[in-house]
Amino acid sequence: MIEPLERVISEFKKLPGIGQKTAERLIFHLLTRDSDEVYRLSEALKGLTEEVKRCQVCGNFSLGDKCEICSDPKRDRGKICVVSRPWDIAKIESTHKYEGLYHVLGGLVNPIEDVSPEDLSISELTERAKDDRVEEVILALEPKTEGESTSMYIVKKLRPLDVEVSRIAQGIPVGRDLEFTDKATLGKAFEGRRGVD
Amino acid sequence: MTIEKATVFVIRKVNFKDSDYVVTLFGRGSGKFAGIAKGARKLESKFGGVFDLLNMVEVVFYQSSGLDFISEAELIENWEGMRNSGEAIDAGLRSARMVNKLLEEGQREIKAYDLIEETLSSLDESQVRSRVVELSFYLKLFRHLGYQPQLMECSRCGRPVEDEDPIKFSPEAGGVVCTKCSTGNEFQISAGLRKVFVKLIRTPQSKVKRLKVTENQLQEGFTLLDRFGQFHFGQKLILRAGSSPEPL
Repeated sequence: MIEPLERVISEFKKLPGIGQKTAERLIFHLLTRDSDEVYRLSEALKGLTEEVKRCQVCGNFSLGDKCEICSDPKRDRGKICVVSRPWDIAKIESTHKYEGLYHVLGGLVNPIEDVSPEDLSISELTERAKDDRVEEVILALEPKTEGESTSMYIVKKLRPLDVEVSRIAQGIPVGRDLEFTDKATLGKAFEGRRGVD
Repeated sequence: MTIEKATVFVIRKVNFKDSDYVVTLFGRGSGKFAGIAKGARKLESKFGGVFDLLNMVEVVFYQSSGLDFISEAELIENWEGMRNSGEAIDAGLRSARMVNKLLEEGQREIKAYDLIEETLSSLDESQVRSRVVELSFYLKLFRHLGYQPQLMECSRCGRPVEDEDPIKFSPEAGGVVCTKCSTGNEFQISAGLRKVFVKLIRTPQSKVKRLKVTENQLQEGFTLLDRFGQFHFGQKLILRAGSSPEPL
């Protein structure tokens, strides 16, 4: 294969879920498109590194030093919702149930993958939580082993501060059959049951 | 295509494509193997949350030349008690990490399987000193894999090493070294740590929590096993020693 093709295929293969065959298929598809279309794609990719930054306050994707949420004066500055990855923010925003700020950890504590608390922005979170305006830190981390471990670590770090720490509810997803729910999830759902008005 | 059923521990989990997991599993008879759980990340997946790390799961899988294909999975034990303690989860994950690092794909180690089951059971109990259980796990796993540090006799000449304090220890030699055989390159361990190691090896994992181990001995023990492991396995195995993250 000629060198420019090999070079692009090798770069595509570095993306998650893309192997040699998929990379080849994508490249061969691009070669059939007109050059303007390919140019637009390359410019868009270039813009990812040149234009998209990380918010210096919360770690969200941003066009400037501060993201749209941190810059928005209407957001509730008494609440910080902690997520593991920036794309979790978009998911929570889509619910329209939360109007506070966010904090992106950059992952979860996971000794199996050699990720320790020092690799995450937990110290930055504790610094933010010291702000007198902050009343509540909401943990919206995945309800799995690594998420539990990370949550407990954060709780320990925030305990000395005058701030309430809560976590999002756990249980059976909406629209799901009980029959196909595993016992751990069902157990959590029972523990977190609440009164019906 | 052979269909098999096995009771396994989930010792690693990696996202694959949009909705799959590649899980590394460790079973008593099946050993360590990797399988693909198609669609397991989807909310409506039949697998639910069974592939959470450290869970004990019964899986049905098809063997193939590459990754095994997991067709069914049922949660047997998720160690609810352990999940109430950050330190216990941390110890469990580190133990799973060690199994994953030291065992090859396809390697069967019945004693290592029993050991991790006993370890997670211990961590599942309340008021347990997780770090003691974890240190004991490392020592016993090293023993099962044929790398138990020599503690009573000199690793060079075989003569008993008197109960001096401190005692010389050489990872290269495989354990303690007597004064006569010392080259001056060994490092020193306390006599107390040697006693603790002997007790940890002899005590079943379920009773390790009753042993008295000081914080200093724990730190010394992790450091020693870290150096010992790095020499014999050629990789950093123990995260807690040295610049390790603080306990949860």
